[in-house]
Amino acid sequence: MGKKWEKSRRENGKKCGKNRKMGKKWEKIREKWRKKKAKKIGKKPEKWGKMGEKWEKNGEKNQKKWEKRGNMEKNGGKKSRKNGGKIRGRKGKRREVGWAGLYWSVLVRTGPYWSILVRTGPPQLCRWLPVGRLKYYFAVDSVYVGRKLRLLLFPFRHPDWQVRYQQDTPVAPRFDVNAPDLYIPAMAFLTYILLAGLALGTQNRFSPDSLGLVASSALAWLLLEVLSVLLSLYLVTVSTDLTPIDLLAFAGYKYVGMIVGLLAGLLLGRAGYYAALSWCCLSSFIFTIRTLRLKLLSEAAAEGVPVRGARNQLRMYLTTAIGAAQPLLMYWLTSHLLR
Amino acid sequence: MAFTLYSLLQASLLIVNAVAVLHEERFLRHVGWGSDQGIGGFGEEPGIKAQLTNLIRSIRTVMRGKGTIFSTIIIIMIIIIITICSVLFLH
Repeated sequence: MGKKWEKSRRENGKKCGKNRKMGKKWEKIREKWRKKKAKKIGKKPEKWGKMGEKWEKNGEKNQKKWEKRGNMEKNGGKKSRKNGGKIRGRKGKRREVGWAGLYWSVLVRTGPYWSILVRTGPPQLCRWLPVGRLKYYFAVDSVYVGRKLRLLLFPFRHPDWQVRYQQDTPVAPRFDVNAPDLYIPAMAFLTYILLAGLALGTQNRFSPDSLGLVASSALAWLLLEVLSVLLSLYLVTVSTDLTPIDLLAFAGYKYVGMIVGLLAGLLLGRAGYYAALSWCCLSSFIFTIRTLRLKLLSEAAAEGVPVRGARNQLRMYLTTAIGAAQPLLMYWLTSHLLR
Repeated sequence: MAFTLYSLLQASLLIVNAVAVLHEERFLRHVGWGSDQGIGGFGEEPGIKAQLTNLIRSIRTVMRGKGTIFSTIIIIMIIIIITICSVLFLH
C-alpha cells in the first residue's frame, strides 16, 4: 500500500508542480494586464473625446442620485420626497404634456366609469333604434313582396290582419303578410325619387339641385310624420308594441301608391293621375286603419264592436287621423311634380 | 317645395325653445295648465291635458340648466347668422 501512496504522491507532486508553473505564468499575464489598465485609466479624457466628458458627468449624477437615495432611506423611505410632493417623471424632469397627453389622461382617469355607460348604453339604444332587430325588417322574399304590394293596392278583401307571433316576438315578414318590413318602403322611396327626376325632366324643370331637394323634402316629411305620430301616441297614452321603426315602415308604404299615381300621371296625363291617385289614397287609408286598429285599440273595439268610453273614442280618432294623413301627404308630395 | 331636413331641425329647435320659455305663472295658470293644478288622481287615465302639462313641464326642466345656454348659442349663432349670411350671399 505504501508503494501505491508513494506513487500517487509523486504524481500529485508533479501536478502541483505543473500548476505552480501555470500559476506563475498566469501571474505574469495578469501583471501585464494591470499595467495596461493603469496606462489606460491614467490617460486623459481628451483621447476619448466627448464621450469621456459625458461619462464623467453621468458618473457624478449617478453618485448624487445614489447619495440622495441613501439619504431618503435614512429619513424614512420613499414617502419623504424633497420636491414638495410633486410627481416627476422617471428621468427626473417634468414631462411635456401636450393636448394629446391631456386627452389621454382624462380618458384613462375616467376609465372606471365607462362600465356604467356600457351597462346603460345598449338599453337606451334599443329603445329608440333596435339595431339588432333591423335585420328582421329586411328578411323578405319575393313572394312576400308580391303579396304585400297586392295588399297595399287592394286591401278590401283581406280577411285577417293579425300579425302572427312566435314566443313574444313577431314573426319575420317572410312568413306573414301582415308583418311590417322596411324593404318595400326603402325601395319605394328610392323609386319615387327617380320618378320625380323623370317627371321633372320631361317638363324641362330638371337640375341636380332640384332632385336633391325633392329627396330631402320627402325624407323630412317622412320624419315629421313619424315624429308627430310618436308624439300623439305619447299624448293619448297608448301602450302598444309599435316601435318607431314600425311607424317608419307604415309611413313608407304610401310611397307605393305615390309611384303608381306618378306613373299614371306621366303616361296618361292629368285624368289618369287623378284616377290612380284617388284609388291609391283610398286603399292606403283603409290599409293604415286596418293595420293600426289592431295595435292601438283595445281587443273589444278591434273586433268591430262599438265600445263606449272616452279613451276608446280618442284612440279611434287617432287611428282615423293617422289614416287620413296618408292621402293628404300623398297628394301633397306628388302634385307639384306633375304641374 | 323647399322643406328640407335642415329647416325641420331649425323649426323643432325654435319650437322647443318657445315651449321652454313659456312662463308658468303668467300664462299657464290662467288657462288652467299649471303643473300643480289638480292633475292628481292615481287612476289609470291621465288624459291629454295632463300629459301635455307634464310634457311642457319636463321640457322646461330639461332646458333650464345648461339647455338654455346651449340653445341660445345654437339659435343665435347658427340659425340667425347663417341664414342671414346665406340670404346676403346668394342674392
